Amino acid sequence: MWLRSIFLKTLRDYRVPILGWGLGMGVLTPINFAGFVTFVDSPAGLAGLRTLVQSPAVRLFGEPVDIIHAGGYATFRLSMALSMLGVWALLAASRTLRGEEERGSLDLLLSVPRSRSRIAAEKVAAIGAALLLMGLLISLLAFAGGKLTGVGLGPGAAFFFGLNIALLASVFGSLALLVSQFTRERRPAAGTSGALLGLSFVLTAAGRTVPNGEWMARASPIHYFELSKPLIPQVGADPMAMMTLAVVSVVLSALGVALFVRRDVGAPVALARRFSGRRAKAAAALPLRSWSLGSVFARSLRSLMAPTLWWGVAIAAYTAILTALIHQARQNIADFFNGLAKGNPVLADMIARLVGGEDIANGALLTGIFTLLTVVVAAFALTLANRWAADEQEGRLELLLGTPHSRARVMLARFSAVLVALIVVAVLLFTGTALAAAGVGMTLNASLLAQAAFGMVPVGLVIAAVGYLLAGWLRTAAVTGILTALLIGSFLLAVLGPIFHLPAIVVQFSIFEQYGAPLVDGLRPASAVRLIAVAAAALAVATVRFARKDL
Amino acid sequence: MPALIDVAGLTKSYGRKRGVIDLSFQVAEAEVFGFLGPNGAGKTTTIRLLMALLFRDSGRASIKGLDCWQQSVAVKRVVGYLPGELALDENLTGGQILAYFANLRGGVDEVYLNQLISRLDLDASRRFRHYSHGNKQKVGLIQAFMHRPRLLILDEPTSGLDPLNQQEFGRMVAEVRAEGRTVFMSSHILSEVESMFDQVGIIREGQLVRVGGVAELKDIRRHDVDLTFATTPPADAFSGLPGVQRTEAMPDGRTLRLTVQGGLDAVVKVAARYPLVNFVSREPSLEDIFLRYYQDEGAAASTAAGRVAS
Repeated sequence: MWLRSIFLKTLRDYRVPILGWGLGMGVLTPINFAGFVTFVDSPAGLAGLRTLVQSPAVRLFGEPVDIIHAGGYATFRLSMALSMLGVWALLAASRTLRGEEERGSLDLLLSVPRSRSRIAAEKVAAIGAALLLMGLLISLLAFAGGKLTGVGLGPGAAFFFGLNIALLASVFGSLALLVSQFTRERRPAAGTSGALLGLSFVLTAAGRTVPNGEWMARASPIHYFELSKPLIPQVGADPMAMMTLAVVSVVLSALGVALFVRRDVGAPVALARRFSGRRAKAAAALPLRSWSLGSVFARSLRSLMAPTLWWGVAIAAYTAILTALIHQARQNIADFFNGLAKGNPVLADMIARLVGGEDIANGALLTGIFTLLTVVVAAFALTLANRWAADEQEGRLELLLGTPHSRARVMLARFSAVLVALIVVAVLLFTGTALAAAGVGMTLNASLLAQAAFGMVPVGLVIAAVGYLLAGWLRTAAVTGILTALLIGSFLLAVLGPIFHLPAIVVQFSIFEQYGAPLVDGLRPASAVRLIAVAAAALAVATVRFARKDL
Repeated sequence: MPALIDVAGLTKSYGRKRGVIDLSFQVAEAEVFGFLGPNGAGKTTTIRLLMALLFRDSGRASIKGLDCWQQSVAVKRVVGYLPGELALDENLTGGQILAYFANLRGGVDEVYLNQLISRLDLDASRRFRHYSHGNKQKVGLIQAFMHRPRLLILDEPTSGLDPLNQQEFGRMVAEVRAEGRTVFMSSHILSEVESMFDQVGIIREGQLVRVGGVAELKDIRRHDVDLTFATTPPADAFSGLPGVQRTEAMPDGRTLRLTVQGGLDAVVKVAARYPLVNFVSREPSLEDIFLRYYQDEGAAASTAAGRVAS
């Protein structure tokens, strides 16, 4: 049945992501419901929430509406996380036509007696169907979570909750499909679309926080996503906003398909082709003395340079923009945190340790941002591990291992390049934040900032080393899935562990807990050593495994 | 002369799936050894075992006296390798790929490298992803030859090459042999076997069914003989002769086609008794021999004649 049409075959190919992403994203809502129920159980917790909602600073992360009820709390907490379904959509959409052209598998498919537009439309429709199924799973789990925790979420509200997420993701998928018509490879298309997703976050946050800045948010799909709040009964779904997302998706997809039908297979649309053609001619014919071709390490470093700069610059720009936004709301935030500090000696101590006085607000807020960025850096490390697994699976190591280099040496050279890439990202993050802070006249402790930026390197090393280890036994998709689960689980453990009163020893298993809050507390040497030891142990086992396995 | 490649009892399986079973053969220095077999016979498995990309279940294999697994780095110093499926960094140009592998081998003779690029007519400035299958194969071939290795291990090297480049490749192999270096290559294209190889090994379903010189393989003397007579031919006169396996009357009514195993002496003597107009005898091609070994009865035949590999 599943091989009867291109639509069904493509949908079949997505069965693992549908389950993985649908269940992975879906479980977040019940967890937040349960967390809220535990949280409001104590008067102090509820009071804390009431105080938090008064702060203009929280608007950087989401619109706090009815946050003292489960629906509002979950909507606020999940707004950013659930938008991440867009990452899957843009990866899938950039793979579906451009990726298949890269692999050469589309030629055969286009030889069957079906029009190009139909083939493309069936593939795009399959992505749409996959997103709807993921949305449905998220709805079902939200509904079940509501029942189990007594939150009382209706089936209609749960359905629109999932549908809204699927529609937002479909906008980024359609965007990637369109962008991929202008690129020769899928990676630049995915990277550009990912950058636009990041920009959407920034625009939405700016629209919420900068005075008279609502116009910026209107350019962001996430703004229309946030207009609907199905988990909050008094707000509910916004049909116009959802319709806007649906129409934008359809228009972008239609444009993408229309361009695909009119261009050469394997080539970008004519304008982009002329540009890339000029660039290719610059390469020397036989660059025997090029530094990047001198060793496995140098070659690995060169191949990681572009993604490292993309990720590093994007992370640095995001932090720089948020640093500037924090400065915009500085007085309000300072009042808020100083108010907290008055009744809280621990927080007052933190203020003193950072920069003292009113600027504690900047440090405390940046700490929250840095915690999120650690997840992003870990995700970057995941992509680096993924490259290794893909190179092995797709046979790109075969010829390399035909040269007189031991397997261990090849693996360690590749991992060394990963280490350098993570350090480069940390340098860019440090520089971007420091420059932005200096630019807006914000005082930050340079030492703590450096510890916070470079403290992310061991976190990334753990993810990368575990990825290398898993690649010794598993295929690329499985490595990616397990690392993603590890990353999400570790983050949830750090964030929700204290709320659920999990034993400290359990929470310590989270790599993000080990990272801590170095922007305020400084880097904990013992934690950093623990992370490095875990990475070293994983890499050692990975090396032994790689040296002994069949390729 | 000691063997450059020495394989004994080599066995490899992929779980329940067969890989290769109890392979034993030797390849002498300065020899061009052809490893023949259909798809899935075990050629690539054998080659990847020699390159230590796969680990053996049992048996041993050595190159230049070096264990293929324990001393794989030393082995790879003397080997130029072309895999069956070439997967390389798609974003590099052909020139960049060649420069990279030249550097990984500690440098190569740049003049010779440029000669190879010129001989195979490769545009080294194009990105690997934009190459045709044949051009990708040229990049693989050049990187295998460029450091003048003592042993070339090539997995179906002419795959994707046009006839002119196949000829050029043949000349390159001949030069390697003339310089006293060794080539071990797999193929399922018979036309290149007779012109290029000194020794041939035939592998079938993971087992080596025969190893021998190209001329030696032709010792299975099966001839197709066409006898054209002035009148209706006496078919019965030939059917009982020693070595005659099959007798077939052709549609023209005057020609008999005989399949004869071994010598033709008896056939010639009987034919001379009748008014013979034409006599045509065809030698078995390697392709015929090759195909015989893929037929079920081939294995049995191989045990009866020639050098049978274990």
